[in-house]
Amino acid sequence: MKTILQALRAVFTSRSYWIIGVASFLGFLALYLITLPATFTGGRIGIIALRFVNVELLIWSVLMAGLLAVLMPFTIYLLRRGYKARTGTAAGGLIVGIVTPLLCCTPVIPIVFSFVAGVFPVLAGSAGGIVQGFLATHETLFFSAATTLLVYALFQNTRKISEEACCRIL
Amino acid sequence: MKALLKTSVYILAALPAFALMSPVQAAAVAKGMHAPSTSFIAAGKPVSVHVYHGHKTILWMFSTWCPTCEASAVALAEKQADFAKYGVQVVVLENYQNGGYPGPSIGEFALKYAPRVVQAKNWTFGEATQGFAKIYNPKAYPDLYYLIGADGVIDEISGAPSATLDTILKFAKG
Repeated sequence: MKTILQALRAVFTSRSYWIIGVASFLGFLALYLITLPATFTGGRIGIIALRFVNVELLIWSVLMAGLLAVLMPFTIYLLRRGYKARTGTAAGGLIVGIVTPLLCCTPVIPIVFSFVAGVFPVLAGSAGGIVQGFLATHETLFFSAATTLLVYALFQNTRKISEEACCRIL
Repeated sequence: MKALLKTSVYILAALPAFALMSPVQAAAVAKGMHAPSTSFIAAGKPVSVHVYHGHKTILWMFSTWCPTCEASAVALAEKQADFAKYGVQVVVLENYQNGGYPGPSIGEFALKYAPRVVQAKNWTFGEATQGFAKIYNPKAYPDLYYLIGADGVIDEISGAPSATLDTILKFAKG
């Protein structure tokens, strides 16, 4: 916790990082709000999806956008100082969070499975339904995994910032 | 940073594809064709699609585990007054084997998400047989509907009534 506070203090002393953070939050919040409800719209995203935002999806959207809003300034801060920021984990978190609702009830998986079944007949029939059913009924698990990845990415970058702060030559 | 930016760009680029995607049906049944005569099960008895000829019909197949289907059941039930007014029959069928994944029964599903229409005369709740699914939903989409005109011709094939209610209402009123 102390390390996180140190990193936050180090990064957010500059106004430019505040701007990056706020812009990232708004951008990612909008992205999550138009994609997470796709679970109720058969994968359709955009303004139509906003009608289906409920309290649970709002909380997930704010949480994940909030984490990314801290991660983006941290990453840029490290890169500006010539450090290698860890972005793979954050990218993984972003993908898992966004893609899960897009796959659960859309034609994507049935189309893919019917194509693959041409090569592997064992996958014909209800194999796509098993995947989609699992995604649909375990969405909270996938959102939790996405959030965990983002938290881990935050932890990785926080540690780097702390290392950089401790060894800075003033 | 590159990975995060790349991922964001790829996601943003891919989103329109998802937005445009709808279950365009392949194989046996297509828009403009007469709805093939085959039977599903309702109240334990086989019922032919031809029973509905002479009425505009919404034939919706879904899986009870699918969140889009929950929202769609609510959305369709809310429009029951319009469907009754325009003489539209609504046939709601659980996919064959529930699309391959367990979930509540169609009865439980209907009572939870569309209780107002469970007893409605213009609504039929049933289950798709394997033969029915082969013709009307060969790719096993979790959510797929047909709008069939009074003449038995398929007017539209789409999915997610929750997100395409305007199309359905236009068909009902047209």
